[in-house]
Amino acid sequence: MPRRNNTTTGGLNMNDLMNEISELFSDVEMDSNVKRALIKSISLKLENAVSLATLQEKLKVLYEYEKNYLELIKEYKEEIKFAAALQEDLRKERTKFFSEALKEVSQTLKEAQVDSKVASVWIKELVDSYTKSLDLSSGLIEEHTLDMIGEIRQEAKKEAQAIRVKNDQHT
Amino acid sequence: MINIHNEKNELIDILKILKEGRKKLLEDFLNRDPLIFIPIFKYENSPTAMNIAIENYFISWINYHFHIWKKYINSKTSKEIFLKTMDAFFCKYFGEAKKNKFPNPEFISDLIEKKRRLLQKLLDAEDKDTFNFNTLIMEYEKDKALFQRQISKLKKERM
Repeated sequence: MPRRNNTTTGGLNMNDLMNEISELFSDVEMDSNVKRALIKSISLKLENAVSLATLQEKLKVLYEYEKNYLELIKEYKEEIKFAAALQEDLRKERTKFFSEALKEVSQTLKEAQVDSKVASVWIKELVDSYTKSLDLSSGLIEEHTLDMIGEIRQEAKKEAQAIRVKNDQHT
Repeated sequence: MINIHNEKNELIDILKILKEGRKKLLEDFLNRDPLIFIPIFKYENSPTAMNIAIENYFISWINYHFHIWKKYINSKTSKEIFLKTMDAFFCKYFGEAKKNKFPNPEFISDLIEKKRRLLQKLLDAEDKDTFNFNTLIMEYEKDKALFQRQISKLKKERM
């Protein structure tokens, strides 16, 4: 007897197909052991063929989906690069501020003979304001990036749906 | 792609305004701007007046963004994003919960200018020694509270 299998192809159930074959062989006069072995052999060959076809179908859908997703990413490549470049510029500016600009300001205050306590109060305010402005800029870029990811996801979803519909129509 | 592309231009506009603001901040310190360097020496021994002077300078710096925005912004959407950004800036400064957007830039700039004039008045009073120390502190706190009240009222009106 064939193994229980729910694999379907073209709307036909594997079990139904095996029952049909067994029925066809029921009228054939031959040794029952040979008949069983023959049905089993046909069953195995068919099952392998059907499984392979199903797998190929699934792989095709997956391939189509991945292909479209990659094309989508390619389409947004410049936008992704743009957002990354903006964040990189901000990171560089932040680093430069703390490593160079702040030292220059501190030096200017020192050269002007500003009292060190007074200088530190003003420098603290300068750091606070400068970083607030940088954080705000970074937040705006993040917001833009999230909007872009949302748009890519939405388009990917649309593409996936279109592939599913196309595949269903094909089968 | 259309939405993101448009937003990209608006984002660049706002980032340029903020960057110019940061540039100005550094230049004021490096070029010894009088608004920083006069009070630095003048109020060296008066912490309250020094605090007012610090607030005066940084308030004027925030207001600088309202003076340059027209240089970069052309669209209505950019203007809205600019106001939303400045609203977030105010929240960072004054700890006000982010409730709603400000009205037009000119209006908020006037409000800031009014606060600056009040701060300047307090500093002048300190210079002329017509106020005693406690009165000056009281006026300073009152001014802070009034400004906060005005901002809150403005936001509630927009809700």
